[in-house]
Amino acid sequence: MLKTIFIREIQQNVSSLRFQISLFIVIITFAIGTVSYIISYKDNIKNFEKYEKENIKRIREDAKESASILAVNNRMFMHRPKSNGFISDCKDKYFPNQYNYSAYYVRDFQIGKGSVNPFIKDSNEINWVFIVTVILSFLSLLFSFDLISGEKETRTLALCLSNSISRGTLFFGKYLSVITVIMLETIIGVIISLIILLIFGDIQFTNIIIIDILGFLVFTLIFVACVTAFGLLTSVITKKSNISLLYSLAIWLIFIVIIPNTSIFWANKLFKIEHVEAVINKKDKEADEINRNAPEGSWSSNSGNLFHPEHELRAKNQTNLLNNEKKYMDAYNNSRLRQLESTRLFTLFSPVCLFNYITEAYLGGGYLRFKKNWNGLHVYQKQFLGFFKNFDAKDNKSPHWYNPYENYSTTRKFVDISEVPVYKEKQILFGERLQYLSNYLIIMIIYTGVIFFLGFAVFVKYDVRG
Amino acid sequence: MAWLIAKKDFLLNLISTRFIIAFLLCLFLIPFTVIVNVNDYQNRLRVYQVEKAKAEKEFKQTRVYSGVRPEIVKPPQALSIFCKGISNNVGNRVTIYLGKIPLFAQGKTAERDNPLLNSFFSIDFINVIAIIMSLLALVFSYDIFSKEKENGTLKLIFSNRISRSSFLSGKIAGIYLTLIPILLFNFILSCLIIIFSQDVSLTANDWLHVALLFFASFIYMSFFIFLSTFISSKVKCSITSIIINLFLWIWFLFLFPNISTYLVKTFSKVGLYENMKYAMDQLDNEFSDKCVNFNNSFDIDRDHFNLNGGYDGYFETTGDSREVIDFEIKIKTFKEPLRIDYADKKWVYQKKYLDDLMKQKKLAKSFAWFSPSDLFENISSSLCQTNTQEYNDFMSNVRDYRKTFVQYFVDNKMFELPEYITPQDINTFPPKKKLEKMWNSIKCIEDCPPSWFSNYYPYLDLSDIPVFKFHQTSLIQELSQSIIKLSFLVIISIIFFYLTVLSFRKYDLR
Repeated sequence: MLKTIFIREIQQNVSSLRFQISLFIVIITFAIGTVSYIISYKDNIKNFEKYEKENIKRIREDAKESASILAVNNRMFMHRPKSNGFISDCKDKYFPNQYNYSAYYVRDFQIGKGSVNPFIKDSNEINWVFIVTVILSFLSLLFSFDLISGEKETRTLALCLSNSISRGTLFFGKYLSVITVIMLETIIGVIISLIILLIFGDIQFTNIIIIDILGFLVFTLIFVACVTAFGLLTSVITKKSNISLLYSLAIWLIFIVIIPNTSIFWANKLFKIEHVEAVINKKDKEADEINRNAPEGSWSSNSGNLFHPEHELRAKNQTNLLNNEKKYMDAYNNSRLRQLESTRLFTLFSPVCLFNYITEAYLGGGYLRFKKNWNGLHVYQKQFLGFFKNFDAKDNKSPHWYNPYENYSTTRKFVDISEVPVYKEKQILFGERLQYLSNYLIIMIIYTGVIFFLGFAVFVKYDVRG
Repeated sequence: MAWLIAKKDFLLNLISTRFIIAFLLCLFLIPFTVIVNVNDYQNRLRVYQVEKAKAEKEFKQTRVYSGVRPEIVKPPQALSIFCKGISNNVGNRVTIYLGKIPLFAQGKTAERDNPLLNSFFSIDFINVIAIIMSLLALVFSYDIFSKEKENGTLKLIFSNRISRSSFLSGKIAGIYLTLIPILLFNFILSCLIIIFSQDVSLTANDWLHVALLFFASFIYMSFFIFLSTFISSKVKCSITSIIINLFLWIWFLFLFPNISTYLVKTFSKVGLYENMKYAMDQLDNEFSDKCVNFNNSFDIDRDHFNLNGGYDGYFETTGDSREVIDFEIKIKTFKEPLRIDYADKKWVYQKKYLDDLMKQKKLAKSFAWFSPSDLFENISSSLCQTNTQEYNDFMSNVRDYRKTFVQYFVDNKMFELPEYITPQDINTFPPKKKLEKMWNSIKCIEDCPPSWFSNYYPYLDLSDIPVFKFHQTSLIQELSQSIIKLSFLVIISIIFFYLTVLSFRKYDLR
C-alpha cells in the first residue's frame, strides 16, 4: 500500500505546476551558478598565483639579505581558492583568510580586503549549497504544506482513509514522495552542473571530488527530509491549506532569514567579548610599564655593530614586549573563537544553519579551514623559529641575542631558501572532517525524527472529515 | 458600491488568520530589528566619539610639522538604523598623509571586534519591510478574484448592479485598507523605539527622510499588490495563483539579488587587492632607494641625541649639532616633495582598483532595475545616506582636502623649515665640536640641559592649517537619485494595474 501511495503522490507532484516551475528555476540556477563559478575560479586562481609568485619573490629577497631579516619580517599567508567551490564556497571570503606571522609570532588573522567589494552588499555565491538551502528548502515546504490540509479541503483524505490503509502508511508515503521529488530535482540540477563542469571547467574529477559530491547528496537528503518534516507538521496542525502555507512561510523565514541574520546581535549580547580597543589599551599600558622598567640603554642601537653591548638589553626588552603582546592578543583571539563557536550553537535551531555547518566541515572550508590553518601556523612558527635559532647558532659572528622585531643582534648571513621550512596548507583529513560534522549531523537527524514523529502524533488524531 | 466591497474585504481580512499571523510576524520582527540597529548605531556613535576625541588630541599635541597628519572621523548616520546600506562594509576614519592618497576609509565600522562574525550577515529595517510587506501584499491579493469564484460568490456579486471596474477598485482598496495600517504600524513602532532610545536624536530633516521612506515602502508594496492582482486575474484557481506568486517572490527577493551580484562579480573583474598593494610597495621601495642614495651622497655622521621617527616622514629631533640639523633639513627638502610625487604615482594603481570596484557597482545597479527589492534597497540607502554615492562624495572631499593640505605645506615651504623636524630654535643648535665638548662634561642624562628634550617645548599653533569640512548631500540631490527609480516602480505598478483591468474585463465569472 505504501508503494501505491508513494507512486500516486510522485505522479501527482511531477505533473503539478509547482514541479514544472521549480524544476525550471533549479536548472537555471544550477547552470548560471556553475558557469559563473568556472569563469571566476579561473580568474581567482590567476590572481592568487600572481600574488603567490610575488610573495615567494619577497621571501627570497629577505633570505638573500639575511636569515634574521627573513625571521623578523612580517609575512602573510593567504587561502588558495577551493577547487570544490562549485559545491560550496563555505563563505570562505567572509571568514578570516589571511594570517600575519613571523618566526617569533603568529600575530593575527583578517579578512582579505580584496575578498569582497565594499560597495556591493553582502551576498551568497550561487553554488549547490546555496541552491539547496534557499530554493530546495522552500520547495520542500511548498510541496508538503498541503499534503494533509489540502487533501482535507478537497475531501479526498477521508476517502483515502476509508480504504484499508493505516494513517502511518499514508503519512510516511506522502513524506517519502516529497523527499523523492525534491531529490529528483537536485539530482537533475547536479547532473547539469557536472556536465557544464566537464565540458568547460578546469576542474579535475578526482576521487576526492567525487566523494565530496556523493557526501553532498547524502547531506542534502537529510536536510530535505528535515525541512519536509516541518512542512508536513504545518499541514497537520491546521485545517486549511492557506493557513498551513502561512505557517510554512513563517518557519522558512525564521530558518533562513531570522536566525542566521540576527546571530551578530545574539553574539554581542549573549557571548560578549571585550572591545579590541580595551585590549589594546591594556596591552599598551603594560608595554609602557615594561619600557619604563627596562634598564638604561635598552633602546640604544647601532646597526653597524652586532655586538653593541646594549643590543642584548634591547633584545630582552623586545622579547618582553612580544610576550606581553602574545599574552593579551592570544587570549583575545581565543575569546573571538569561543564567541563564534557559542554563536553557532545558538543558531542550531535552524536546519539551514546546520546544513551549512555540515557541508562546510565536509568540504573542508569555512571555520574548519580557518582553525586548521590558524593552529597549523602556530606549529609551523615554532619549527621556523627552531630552524632560525639552529642556523644562527652555527654563525660564530652572531651574538645570538634574539630580538623578535629587529635584526640588530642575530646572524647577518644569508640563507638558502630551499633549506627554510615553508608553511603549506594541509588537506583536512576525511576522518577529521567527519568528526567535526558528526555532532551537527546527529542534531539534524534527531531534529528530523522529532519533527516527523510530532507531525505523525498530530496526524493520528487529525479530524479527516471535510 | 466599491467602498462597500473595500469595507467588507477589510473587515474579513481583519478577522482572518493570515492577518493575525502577519501582524504577529511584524510585531516580533520590527521591534527586534530596530532594537538591534539602534544598538549598532549607539556602538558606532560611541566609537566615533572616542576616535574623534583621540584624533583631535593627537592633532593638537604635535611639536613638529612632520607630525601634523590630520585624521578625519566621519560621524555615523542616524538613519542607518533604518537602512545600513554599505555603512557596515566601509570605514569611518581617514588619516591625511603626504605619501598616500586615501583609497578607503579605515576604522572599526569596517572591521568588527570579531572578524569571524562576518560569516553571519545582518538585516535592517528596510530588509524586513522588503521581505514582509511584499509577502503580505502577495498573501492578501493572490486570491482577489479566484477566492470569490471558488466560493461561488463572484457570480452572486455580479448579479447585482455593479460594474467590473467598481468591483476591482473595491477589492484593491480593501487590500490597501488592510496593508496600509500594517505598514504604518511598522513605521510608528520603529519611530517610537528610536524616540525612546538613548543617544539617538533625529533632526527634522531626518524625520522628513523617514516620511519619504514610508512613501517608498508604500510604492514598493503597491508593486507587489498589482503584480499579484494581475496573476490572480490570469489564473483560475487560488492555489495556482499563490504558487506562481511565491515563486516570483522568492525569485525577486532571494534569488535574483544573489544571482545578479554573483554574475556582476564574475563578469566585471577586479584584481586582487594584495597584488595592487605589492605594486605600490615596489614604488615605496623605489622611493626608499632614492632617499638612501641621496643620504649616501653626503658624508656625515647622523648621530642624534633624541630622535623620534615614524610613518609618513614623521621626524622629531632635539639636542643635535647644527651640522646634523642642517643635513636633516636638506634631506627633508629633498624627501618630502618626492614622497608627494610617489603618492601620485601610487594613486594610478589605487585609482585603477577603485574604478574596477565602481564598474562592478555600476553593473550591479543596472541589474537592480530587474528586481523591485534591489530597487527599493537602493532608494532606501540613498534616502538614508548610506549608499555608495554618499561614501564616494565623502572620500572625494577627503582627497580634495588632502590636496589643499599638501599645497599648504608646499606653498609655505614647510619642508625647508627647521620647525618641520625640530621644536628647538635653529640658532640654539651648537656646532659639532662645541657639542662634543659639552658632551664630555656630562656624566649622566640628568645633566643634559632640558632644551635637549622635545617635551621642553610647547605644542605647535596649528590654527593656520586648513580644516576639513563635511559636505552634506541636500535633500534635492538625494531625491534626484531616487526619483527615477521610484517612478519606474510606479510605472510598472500602473502597467500591471492596466493589464489587470484588461484581463478582468474578460474574466470568466462562472
